[in-house]
Amino acid sequence: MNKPNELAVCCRDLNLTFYQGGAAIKGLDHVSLEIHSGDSICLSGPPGSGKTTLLNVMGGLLSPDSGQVLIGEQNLSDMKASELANLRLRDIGFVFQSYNLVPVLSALENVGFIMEMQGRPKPEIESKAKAMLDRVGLSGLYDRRPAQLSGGQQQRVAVARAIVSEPTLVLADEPTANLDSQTALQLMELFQSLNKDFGTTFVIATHDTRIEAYTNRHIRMQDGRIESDRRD
Amino acid sequence: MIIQLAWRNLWRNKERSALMISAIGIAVCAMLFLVAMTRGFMLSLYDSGIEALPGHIQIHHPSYLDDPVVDHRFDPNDHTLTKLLEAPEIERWSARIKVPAVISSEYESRGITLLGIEADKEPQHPRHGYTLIEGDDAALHSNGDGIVLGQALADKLETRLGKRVVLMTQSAAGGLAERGIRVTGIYHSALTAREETEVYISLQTAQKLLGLTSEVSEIALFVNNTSMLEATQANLTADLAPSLEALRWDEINEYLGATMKTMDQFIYIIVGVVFLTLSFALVNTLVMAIYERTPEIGLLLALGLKPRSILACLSIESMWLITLGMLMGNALALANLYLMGDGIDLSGVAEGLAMMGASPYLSADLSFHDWAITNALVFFLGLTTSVLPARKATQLDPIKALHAS
Ligand SMILES: Nc1ncnc2c1ncn2[C@@H]1O[C@H](COP(=O)(O)OP(=O)(O)O)[C@@H](O)[C@H]1O
Ligand SMILES: [Mg+2]
Repeated sequence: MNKPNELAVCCRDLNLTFYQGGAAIKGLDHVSLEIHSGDSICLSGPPGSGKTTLLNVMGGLLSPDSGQVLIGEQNLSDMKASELANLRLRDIGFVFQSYNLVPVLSALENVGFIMEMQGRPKPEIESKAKAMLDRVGLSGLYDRRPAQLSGGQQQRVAVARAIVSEPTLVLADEPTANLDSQTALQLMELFQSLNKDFGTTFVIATHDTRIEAYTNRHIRMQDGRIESDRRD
Repeated sequence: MIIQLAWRNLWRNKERSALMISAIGIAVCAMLFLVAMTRGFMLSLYDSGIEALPGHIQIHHPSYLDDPVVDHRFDPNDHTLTKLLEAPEIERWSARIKVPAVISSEYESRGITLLGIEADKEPQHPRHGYTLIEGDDAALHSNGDGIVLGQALADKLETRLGKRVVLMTQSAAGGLAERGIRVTGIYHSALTAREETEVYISLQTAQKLLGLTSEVSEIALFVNNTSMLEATQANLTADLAPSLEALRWDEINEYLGATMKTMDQFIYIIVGVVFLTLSFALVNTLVMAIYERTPEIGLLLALGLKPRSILACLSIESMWLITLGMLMGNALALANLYLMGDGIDLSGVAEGLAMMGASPYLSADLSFHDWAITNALVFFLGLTTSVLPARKATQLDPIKALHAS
């Protein structure tokens, strides 16, 4: 994990156009952005404003038409597919909207999975995964399969998995969209306290404006552009 | 972790996996069973066709096979021949007299094939070919005196163990050779035709009867390595006196040779066809599994798993599937073959089989070679077949796959 206030991510003049049925849609329109270590960002904007596209570009899942993304020292546009996969595995944590967990693995195994793939030693994986599940409030549910957990619990497991290997950046795309509002706010409280305790850098895309209350930086998008960017 | 994931994925759709394992099991069982039965049938053809008086290669006077009379004889003690038979690739050899003769009792006379053999140099009699049911075959060893004939012939002649019969044949000098001889053994053969026509005495007795000193009708030899048969034959032929010819069993019995060759290929056609059917099911199962798990595969790719890890996971899963199916298939096949024991009684179609030269007992014969080839084929081709759909899965776009549901 980077030191606080170090530059974690740098996006320079990102452009990405989608073509659908002959029409050109600006997914990203001259997006430049600097994210510092320890930032907790709420990326908001109406549906179709380019939030998911920006997250995918930062996560190395989508390459822009022009512009650059740097994660730490690494320039994503110079990287091959396998190097991008490695980057995602080591430097980025993901929380998706609905499909987050491997159904045949227990909560504990889902949390340990990424560390296993990183080739960390077994005892470390086990103790870290357990500690993280305890931290997100799921102690005692280690052996449950995803189908045996509620939607909110599943998202907590996903959050635990995303941060347990201490990535440079955690990208969460509408993590609360499938939750009822009470559960959604509890999940946001979790993000907030994890950011405070561990200094984890979060970018949380959402169209739910209530979430802004739980982050320290608010970026608003519209039509693929960054409309506003302010800190508390 | 990948192995564990594959194992758990295998049991996600229990019914489908169980069905697929059973399908592989039954297919493998069918393959092994058919292979064993075909091989058993081939062996029975071989036994009755060649092992009647066997030899991988037989040496004769060039005219002997067309006209197997005493005139077409040769001397095995000829210096070069003795040397040739000492070649290391020759496991053992035996000399025989085999001539037409007439056998008579007080009541009946029949035309037969008289065989003079050295029983201690001949291989064990084959499973279906020959079973001694009365008396013994001491007469067929050196210096033995007596005759061993088939049960059917004994019945026709109305003779039995201990009684005397008369043998008549053309002597080496061209005259009539004749002598009385005591029946000391009666054998049973699966082939009635053999029981009625093949009569055994010792080589020396035969030579004495025909007025020969050391000459014989044929030398049969066995090689150590049957895959080198043609080379051995070529070596022999190169140095053999021009008055002799060395022929392989499949040249002596061309029909049998051709049948065996065809059936050899047939075995692998069976395996191929069953496998082809199986592979469709296998591919279909895997395509279904991948289709159902598209979002999950997308998730794993998005999280940074390498496509080859996904490929490994899916391949290991089908490896489990194939391995379990093969275990089941082998267990089924072996149990079946064990229960069958000595063979299936096919007396109902015995006459047809006898005409083809096979015995009415169809026994299965699963050689290690056939077993290993069948299993290896299923395993490796099965794995290869399942890698094709699995490769497709690794080429998915992670984001699109993640949202496919
Ligand atoms: N693969 C794609 N093909 C075509 N258009 C796309 C694709 N992905 C996104 N878009 C378009 O780009 C715009 C931004 O989409 P997105 O980033 O998903 O918005 P948000 O996440 O803010 O709702 C939308 O108009 C969307 O229709
Ligand atoms: Mg979106």
